[in-house]
Amino acid sequence: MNNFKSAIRTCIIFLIVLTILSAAIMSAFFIGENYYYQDSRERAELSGTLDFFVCGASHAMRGFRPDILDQELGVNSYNLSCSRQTMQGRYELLNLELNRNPAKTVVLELSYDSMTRNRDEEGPEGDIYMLGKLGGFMPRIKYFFSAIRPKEYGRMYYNYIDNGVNCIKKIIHGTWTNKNTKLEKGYAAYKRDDDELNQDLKKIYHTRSFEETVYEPNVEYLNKIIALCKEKNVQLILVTTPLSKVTVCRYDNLDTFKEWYENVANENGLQYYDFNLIRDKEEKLPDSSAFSDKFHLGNKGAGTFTKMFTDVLNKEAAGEDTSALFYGSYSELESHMTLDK
Amino acid sequence: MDLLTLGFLLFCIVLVIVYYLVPKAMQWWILLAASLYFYAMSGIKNMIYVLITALSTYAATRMIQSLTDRQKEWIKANKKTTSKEERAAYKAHIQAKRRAILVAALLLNFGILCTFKYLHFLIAQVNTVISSFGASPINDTLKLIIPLGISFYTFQTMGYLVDVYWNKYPAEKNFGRVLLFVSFFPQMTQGPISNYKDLTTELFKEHTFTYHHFSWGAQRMFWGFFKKMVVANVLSAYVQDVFANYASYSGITTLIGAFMYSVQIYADFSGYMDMMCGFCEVLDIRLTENFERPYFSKSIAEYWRRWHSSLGAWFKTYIYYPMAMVKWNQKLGRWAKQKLGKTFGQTVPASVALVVVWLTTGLWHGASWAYIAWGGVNGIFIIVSLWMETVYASWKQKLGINEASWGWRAFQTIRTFILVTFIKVLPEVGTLSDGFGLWKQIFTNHTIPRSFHALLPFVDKKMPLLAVMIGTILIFVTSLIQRRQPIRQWLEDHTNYAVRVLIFAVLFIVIVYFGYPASGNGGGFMYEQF
Repeated sequence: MNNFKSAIRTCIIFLIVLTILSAAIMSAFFIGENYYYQDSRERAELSGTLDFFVCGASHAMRGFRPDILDQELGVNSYNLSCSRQTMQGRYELLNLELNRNPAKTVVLELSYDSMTRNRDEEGPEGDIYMLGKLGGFMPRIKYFFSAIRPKEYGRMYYNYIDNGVNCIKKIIHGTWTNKNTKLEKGYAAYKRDDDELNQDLKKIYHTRSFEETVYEPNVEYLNKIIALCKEKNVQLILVTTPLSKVTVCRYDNLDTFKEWYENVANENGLQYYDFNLIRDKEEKLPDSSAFSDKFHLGNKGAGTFTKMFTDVLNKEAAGEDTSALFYGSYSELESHMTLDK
Repeated sequence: MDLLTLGFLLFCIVLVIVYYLVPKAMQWWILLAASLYFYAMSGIKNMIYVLITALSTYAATRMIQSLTDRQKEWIKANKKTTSKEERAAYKAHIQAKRRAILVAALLLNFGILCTFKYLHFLIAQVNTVISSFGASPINDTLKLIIPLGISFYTFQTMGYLVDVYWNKYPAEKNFGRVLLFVSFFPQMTQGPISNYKDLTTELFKEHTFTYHHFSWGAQRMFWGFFKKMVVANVLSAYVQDVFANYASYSGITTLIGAFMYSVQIYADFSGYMDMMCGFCEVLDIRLTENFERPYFSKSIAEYWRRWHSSLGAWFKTYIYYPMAMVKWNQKLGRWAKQKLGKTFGQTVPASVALVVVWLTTGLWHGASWAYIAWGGVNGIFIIVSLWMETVYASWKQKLGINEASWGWRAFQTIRTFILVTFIKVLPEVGTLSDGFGLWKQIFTNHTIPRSFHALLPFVDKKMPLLAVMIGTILIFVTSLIQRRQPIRQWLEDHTNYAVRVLIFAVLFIVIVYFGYPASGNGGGFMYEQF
């Protein structure tokens, strides 16, 4: 029995020492300039004052500028989006924020992969960011065990150690800081990548399709978000952010996703806007200056798009019929589109 | 089941807990259940071959034993009533039956092994020959996947079969015990190839949990993980790059790549051994050691006594000695002694046996001419050393070389390491001509790289390389310490409990940090392929 007790004691001491060492290495990352932890601290400071939220993945993170939303709509907004944010992540974050803020409106970004993104195949990247964005120890622990698969624990541990080591290197070089200068109420501008947008549209026209197999947990969490907003008496607006013309031309099944989201909106009495179909998109959001890559708006484009979005909302609020501002489908859009550069 | 996963770690933890909770008489049943579960995870179909081997070996050994017992009883009962010739005839009759059962069981099991490992190679060679005569080649559409560990458990089990035939010990009556001997999972995929007596003594004795075994076993497992994940896996990416692109690299870069391969394969294989031997130590089971600081060897022959020594011992016992003692070889030896002198009288039979041993060793490692050539080259070095032993001794005497001197031993060690490296890479680059191509690149491309990137173009980031270098130095230093005492004993003598816990906590973090991203490059173990 003494042998067994000694072994258990050694295991416990080892785990304690390992935890302390690991925490020491990771600590610089958690209190440093990391975007997601910075974001959760900023939201905690603004807690109780925010009334307008944008929630989505990287399209929304790069596309919606809270400063323009605040200016045009007279709100105090925050962009909750992050790269690869899962539907579960969106629900958990909205649940957190709607419970501590007097929210009136939520804009939920839905794109071609919001319902088809398979968490089991994709891996934990979006959930790693979510763990940063959630505030507090217990919500993070709860989310960790609900979202992260056991087979991913090793990778998660590696990820945090790696981030910690990189911060230690910055400390050694004197470049570590706990202020993220790129953060603007959840919005982060994106760098331009020319090559992706330099394509011969005639050659690439309708050569690819997006995945259409729905991952059921995504639908469950979408329904949960809808129910949450109803429960909190919050207006929920479904939005598809603009994609580059290269992408709209290349993929042949964007109407499929538009119809899905229209059905969801109709069944739940919600508004849905697909900003790829807005009539003046090509003039106001040309690939050459508005987009940083095939799927994401650049800073200038985000400003223009956010203004376009607020104009639509303001017109809706004024009782105008905004449906005339949009094409009815991608087929209709393409009949008006030229494939010359 | 992949060893480098959380799933395997949980499997080990559950096994240890259950193992020590059950009554001691049931412990080997737990090991059997765990082994069958482990193997089933690799594919239920693969279990068929393990069961065939276990059943055929069990049946064959029981039949051979029964004939042996029958012979003894008959001789005892009829000693006074039969003549010497009658008893000899009876013995010969029984022996013929025993031999027939042995041969049948060997043919069945080696037949299965050879079909999976060598069928495609044989078909390819036949096609080469018949194509040269203008005939149409045989259509090879069979997609045979080699069952996990078949080379190891077949050799181990056939060793047991031959031992029973040789009356070394009686056949096991309990099929479950034979099945555990065949399928014991820690050694199933990469060895060591154990002797039946040694392994079963360990497996079937009563095991009591002790803190000493637990902590030493766990420490050894940690060390094995470090060697595999930090050193072997990181080097794997570099070595693969060198072997794929040696034609465009300088001779020095290619040579560095070859040396890296030597370190990689040692860290990979010995790392696995450390993991499994460490785990077995936690279970109070001692496995045969497979490595004894092989890169400190002073000759090729000594290297092969220290590297994968269980395979060498198997070949020595079941191939070398029988070949050396077979009548026609002994006759050849007498002829050589008559014609060429006493020295050749001894070395010729040994050389013939060595040729057979090394060609089959090459084939065991892989079904290709490159592996056969690899075995042949090793054999040639050993045979030439055997023949030249007295000549070398006279040269050393004339040159006044002190064999015990540090300088001479260092020269021998470095020379052997370089030779072993060159021989090792021959089959690993691809085909035999690729192997020779790599050798040629080392010796003929004299470009001097002028920068770090030119010297090591396959290195993206410096930190993993630094980890590998430190890891290699650590392996070297622990090997030096282990010449006098086990490293774990050294740690206990020179550090306190707190320092040891800290060392292993740091080691854990290093393994995860440097080992995790690299595990995708060389996730499997190299000797699993054999």
